[in-house]
Amino acid sequence: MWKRNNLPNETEPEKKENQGISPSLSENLSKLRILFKDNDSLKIREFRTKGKEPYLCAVVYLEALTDDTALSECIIKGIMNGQPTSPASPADDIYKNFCFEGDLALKDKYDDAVLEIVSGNSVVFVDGASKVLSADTKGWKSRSISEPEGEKSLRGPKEGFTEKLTDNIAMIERRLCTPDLKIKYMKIGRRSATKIAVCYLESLIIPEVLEELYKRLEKIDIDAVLESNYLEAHIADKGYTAFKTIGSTEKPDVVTGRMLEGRIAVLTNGTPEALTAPLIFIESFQASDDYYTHYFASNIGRLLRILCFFLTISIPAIYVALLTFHKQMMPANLTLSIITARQGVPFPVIFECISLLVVFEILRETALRVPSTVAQAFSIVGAIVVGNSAIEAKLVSVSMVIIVSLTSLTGLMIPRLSPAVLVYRTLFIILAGILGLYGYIIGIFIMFTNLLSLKSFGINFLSYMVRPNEYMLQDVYVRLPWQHITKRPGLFTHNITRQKKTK
Amino acid sequence: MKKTAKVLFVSALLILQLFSLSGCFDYSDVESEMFVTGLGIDCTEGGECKYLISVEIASFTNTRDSSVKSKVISAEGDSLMESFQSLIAKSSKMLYFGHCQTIVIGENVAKQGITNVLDFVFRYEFLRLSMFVIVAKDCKALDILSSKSDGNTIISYEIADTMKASENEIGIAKGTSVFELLNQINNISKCGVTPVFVKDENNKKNENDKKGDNDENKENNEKGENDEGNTHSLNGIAIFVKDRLKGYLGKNQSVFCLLASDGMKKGVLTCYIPSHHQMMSVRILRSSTDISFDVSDGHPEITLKIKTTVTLLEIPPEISLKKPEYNVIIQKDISDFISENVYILVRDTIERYGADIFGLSDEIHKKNTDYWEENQADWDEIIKSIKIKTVCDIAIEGSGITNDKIYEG
Repeated sequence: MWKRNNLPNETEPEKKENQGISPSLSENLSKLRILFKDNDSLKIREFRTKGKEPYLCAVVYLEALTDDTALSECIIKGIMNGQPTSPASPADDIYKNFCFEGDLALKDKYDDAVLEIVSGNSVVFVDGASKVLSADTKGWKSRSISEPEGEKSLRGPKEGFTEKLTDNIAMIERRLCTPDLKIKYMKIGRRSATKIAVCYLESLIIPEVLEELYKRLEKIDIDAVLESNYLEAHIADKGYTAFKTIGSTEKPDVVTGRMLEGRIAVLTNGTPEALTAPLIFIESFQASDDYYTHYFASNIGRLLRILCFFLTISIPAIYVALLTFHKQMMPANLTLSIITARQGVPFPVIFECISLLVVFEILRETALRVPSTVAQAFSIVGAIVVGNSAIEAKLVSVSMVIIVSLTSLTGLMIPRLSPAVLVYRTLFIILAGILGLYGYIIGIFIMFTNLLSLKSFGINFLSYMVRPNEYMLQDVYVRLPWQHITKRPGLFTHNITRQKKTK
Repeated sequence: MKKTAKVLFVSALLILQLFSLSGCFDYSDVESEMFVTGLGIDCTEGGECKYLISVEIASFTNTRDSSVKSKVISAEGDSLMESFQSLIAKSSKMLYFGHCQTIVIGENVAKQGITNVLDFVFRYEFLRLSMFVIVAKDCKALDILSSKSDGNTIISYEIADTMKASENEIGIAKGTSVFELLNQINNISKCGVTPVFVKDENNKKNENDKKGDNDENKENNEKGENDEGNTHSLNGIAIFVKDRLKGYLGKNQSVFCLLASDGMKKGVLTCYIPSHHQMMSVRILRSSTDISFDVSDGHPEITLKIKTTVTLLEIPPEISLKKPEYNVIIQKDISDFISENVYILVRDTIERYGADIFGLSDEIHKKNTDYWEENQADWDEIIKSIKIKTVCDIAIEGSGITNDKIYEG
C-alpha cells in the first residue's frame, strides 16, 4: 500500500495519471532514460530469448542496489535460455516458464514499474507486452546482528535488531512459530517509500487498536521516513508531552514478549528498533532481564528503577529547597557539613545546581558523539579532572558534586524516561529554588496531572499502577515466579489467560 | 474555551495558595547567615539587672580543614530583644536559630524567674521550642558555652548529646525542652525540673589561671584556641517552683527522682547491700511508677509503686547467683534501697522546697477530682503532711553474660 497523495506543495513534482505499460520496448526504455536522466546508477541490459520468434527483452535496474549474481543467474540466464511458447502474452510466458526467481511479480502500470526499480528490484520489459516482470534481486551489505548497546542484559538473548527489515522480521518469526502471527507491510514516505511492517498476534490483539493504528499510519503524509521516530510522533496519542506513549525496543525477544501480551509492533526499514503500542508507564521500568533472572533479583532491580526515577527528578530539587528555604529540616550536623563544604563557593545553590547539571549533560552528549576510543578518556577527563578542579577552585561544592552525580547515576538507570526526567528535573529545581518544598510539591502535582492525562491508543498511561487489580500483583511493581503469572494484562487483549496453573 | 478557563482557574488557585502559606518567600543563602547552635541567658552582676545574651555560633573556615569550630559572642541589653538586636549589630551576618539545640539559663536569671525568658522564646519565631533547657549551676551560662569541649567542637551540641545519653543510658536526668518546661510550670503542681550543668571542678585551677584571659575574651571566644579551659558536666537537676529556681538535686538523688516520677527509661544505680555490707551496681532496663491515692480516716495517703527490671552489673565476689537464696536476698536489698531512698527524696523535696516535682498533685487531680476540688486551696499545706508510702518491686533479669563467679577464692 503506497500512498500517493498530493500535497498542496509547489515544490513537489507534478503528478500524472498512472499510465499503463506501452507494448513498445523502445518507447518504454526511452521514457525511462528521460526519467532517470543524469542518474548513472540506472542500468539497462537488452537481450533476447531463444527460438525462431524470440522475445526482445530489457532488464532495468539500479546497479548499486542489485545483486549481480541473482540477476544474471535467475533472470537473464533463465530468459535467454527460454523457448517462447505463447507469443500473444510474452510477459506471462516468461513469468510462468522462464524465470527461476521466487519473488517475481507482474506489473501493468508504468509508475509501479518505476517504483520497483527505485526500490532495488530488477524490472524486465518485454517487447509487445503491456506488463513487466519485477524480480526481487536486491542485494546490499547490511550490519550483522549484535547485542544492542542500549539494552544490554545479563541473561537471555543477545541479538538485537538491525537496519534490514527482513532480518528483523525473521527474528520475530523465529520466536513465534504460529500462523496466528500476522505481518502487514506498508510503505510510507513520498520520496523514501520506507517499508514498514505491522506485526501482531491476531488472536491476542484488540481489533479496534489495530484499526486505530492503521488509521493513524495511513494519515501520515511525509516525504521521507528515515527512522521510526518519524512514525512515533505521528501515531502517538498526544504529541506534546515529555513522556513517550509509544514503546520502543531494539530486542526481538522484548517485542515478542510484548506481542504476546496483545500489543502491536511496528518495524521500520532502516531502523534497528521496533515500536510497540499501546504503552503504559510501568513498562518504562521493566527490562528483559526481569523475566530471565530469578524473581528476587528482578524485583529488586525493578523496584530500584522506580525508586531511581523519583530520586533523579527529586534529589537536586529537594537539596535546593532544603538549603535555601528549609535549613531547619535537615539534621544539624548534616547542615553544618554542607555549609562547611560550601565555604568560598561564590554562586547561589540553585545556580550551582543547574550549571553543574548542564555541564553533566554536555559531558554526556559529548561522550556520545566522539569516537568510542576517545569517549572513555574524555569521560575520565571530564568527570574527574574537571570536577576535581572545580572543587579545588571553589566553583562548586563537594556536596553539590555528590548530589549531581547521584542524580545523573540514578537517571542512567531509566534511559527510556530520559526526556521526561530532564524536563521535570529542571522544572522541579526552578520551582524549588523559587518556592521551596512547596514549589517541589507543585511540580510533582504538575507531573502527575500530565501523567494522568496521557493515553496510549485510548489506554490510560498509568494503568495498573494506581488501582489495585489482579494483574498488579503478578507483574507490575514486582514479578511473581513464572508459574504464578497466569494472566496477561487485560487492557491489551481479551484473551487474558497466559498459562494454566501448574502448582 | 472551557478548557482554557479551567486551566486558568486551576493556575489561579495554585498561585493564590502561595499567599496563604507564610514562609515560602524566606529564601536565604546559607552563606549569608550565622548558625547559632546554643543560646545562653545571664543577668549582669550588680545593680539593676541587665540581660547578657551569649550565642554559640558555628565557625567555618575556608580551608581544607573540614571540622566545624564554634565561637561565642555576647551582648547586653535592658530587655532580651534589645540584647538580640545588639548581637545582630555585632555580627556581620544574620543569626539563624533553626539549629539552635540548647538554651542555657544562668543561675541568677533562674533565681529571679524564667517567665520572661520562656515567654520570649515562645514568641520569638526564630527560636525552637524543642531546644533543651539547662541551668548553669554556680556559674554563668556564658561560662558553660565557653567551656572546653571534650570531643564535639560545638558545646551546645555536646550538651544536647549528653542529655540524650543521660536519658537513654545513664539515667541521671531527663532532657527538658522549652515546651516541656512550660507545661510543667503551668501544670497544677506549678513545679518543673531541668538538668543542671556545672563547670568541671577538676579544672578549677585552670579556671583561675585563665580568669584574666576570659574576661578579655568574654565577647569573642574562639573555642579551638582555648583548649586548656574549663570543661562542663551534668550534675543533677534543678527544681523550679512556679518560675523560680529553688534548689538542686545531685546526681545520686536525680536517679531516684526519675524513678519516682516515672521518667526513667534506662539507667545505672549503685546500691548498698546491707546483707553483705557492700556496694553493687545494677543497670535499670525498664521502670514504671504507679501513683495511687487514698484517704483513710480523713488522712490522705499517697502510694508510689515502682516496678523496675534490672540486670546486675557489679556484684560482691562472694555472691553466687546460682544459689536461689542469694537472688532473693539481693532482690530484697535493692528493693528496700530504692523504696527508702525514693521515700526520703520525695519527703525531703516536699518539705524543703514545697515542690511537687513528681506529679503527685496531677495524679490526685485526675484520679480523685472531688477530693482535689475540696482541698485545692489548702493543698500546699496538706501535701507537706501527707502520708507517703513507697513500694518497690524488683525483677532481676540476669547478670550480664554469666551467673557464675569468675574467681573461686
